[in-house]
Amino acid sequence: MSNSSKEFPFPFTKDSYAYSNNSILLDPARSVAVSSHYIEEVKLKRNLLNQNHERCFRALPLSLEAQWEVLLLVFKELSTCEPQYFTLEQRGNAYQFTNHLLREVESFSFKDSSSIEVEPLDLAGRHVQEDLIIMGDRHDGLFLEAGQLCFPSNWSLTFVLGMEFKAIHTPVPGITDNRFIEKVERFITRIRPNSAWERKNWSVTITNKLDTPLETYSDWGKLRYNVTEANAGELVNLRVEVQRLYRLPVTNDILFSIHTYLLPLNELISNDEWLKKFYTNVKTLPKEIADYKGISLYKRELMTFLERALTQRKIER
Amino acid sequence: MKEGLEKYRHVLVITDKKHEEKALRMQRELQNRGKSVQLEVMASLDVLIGKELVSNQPIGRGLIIFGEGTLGIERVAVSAGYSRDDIFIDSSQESRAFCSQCHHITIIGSDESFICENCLQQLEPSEHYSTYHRASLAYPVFKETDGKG
Repeated sequence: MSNSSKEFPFPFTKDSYAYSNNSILLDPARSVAVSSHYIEEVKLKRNLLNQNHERCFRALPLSLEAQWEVLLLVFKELSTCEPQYFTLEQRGNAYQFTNHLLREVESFSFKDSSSIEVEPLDLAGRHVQEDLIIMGDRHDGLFLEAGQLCFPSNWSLTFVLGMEFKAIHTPVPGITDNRFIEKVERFITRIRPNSAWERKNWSVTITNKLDTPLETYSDWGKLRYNVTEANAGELVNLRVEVQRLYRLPVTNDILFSIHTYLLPLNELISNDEWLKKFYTNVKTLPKEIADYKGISLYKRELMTFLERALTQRKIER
Repeated sequence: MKEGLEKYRHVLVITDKKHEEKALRMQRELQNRGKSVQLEVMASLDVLIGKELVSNQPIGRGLIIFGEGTLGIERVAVSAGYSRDDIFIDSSQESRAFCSQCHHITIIGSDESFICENCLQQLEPSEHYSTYHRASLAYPVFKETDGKG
């Protein structure tokens, strides 16, 4: 089993598709995680930020306070939970964060913007694999007020900047049925300070690219037409986002972190349980969800590939 | 009268020169209903002047904006403390489509596909609407042959 398979957060627990808020409370509360792909993914993030900064980082001025809070939270968490890789030293208002994996040192004075070259959230994000989003918790709802987003799955940070939580999720099919989205928002607004919740969100992506922003959809979107029964194992990847919601105790805003994992189908089918669960979930996917996740274009080819794998491994459908 | 304006005793109306006539009609209509109206006319909507105007308003006033480029004034009004519910934009504007590829906003007259005037991508507007950009997200249109071969 490869490192990718060992670390892969397989999302399916049932044998049929069900859309739900499958969040779990994290103890201890964590906002980020370090995987074996840390160095390559952080380098990829930095390249994307250097080449497309406006696409990958956006922040409203009112988010600055929360950005500083996130910077310190992430650096403290890394140094406390991964002391072999990171250290943080403090002298009064001055901090020195050392990233031993990258052999880098960041020195800054807390809340002194002149002491750092980029905005605080941008700096924090350059030391973690996660995309980091700040949702401002205002009296009239949650609003996306800042984000460093390098590995989105077909969405645009620039478009959703400043938007309200419910409006951001408008394209998700059935999201307003039974006031589902309002219940999710209420759930988030009740997260207690210094608590973190985690959920896994899955989709399917063509190619092994982590960065599939809406802005380059005209390049990668058409690859969906290329999937055949023969190449599905290589071309199609199960994409899982481990999404965490962390209540910032000082500003009371929400830090939303997204750690993205990809697993090619050729690796996924080597695990019998994963193969069967993935097959049954895709098979029972409602059409509107399949359309939304972009699977409809090649669902027939994908199912044929999975059925062949099930037959070869003598697994009952 | 625009729906929602009944509750305000005082209303600030900001307009550009081109829409002055319309704004004057609105002012008269509101005054006939016993509202106090402050009308401000600019050659074109200017964010700096707009910022000064909205910043000096007492709490609880309604705001109506007429003209081209209302988004800038709306943003400074929100920053100054106006709730989005207190701001009324002239509804006669054509719709705005946000290009998902280059972020340019094109003014369009219908919901049919169009060419982004900046990146020339053929796009189709969706129902995903941003009150921040006051625009609908527009996606690229693929042809049957795209991605083949």
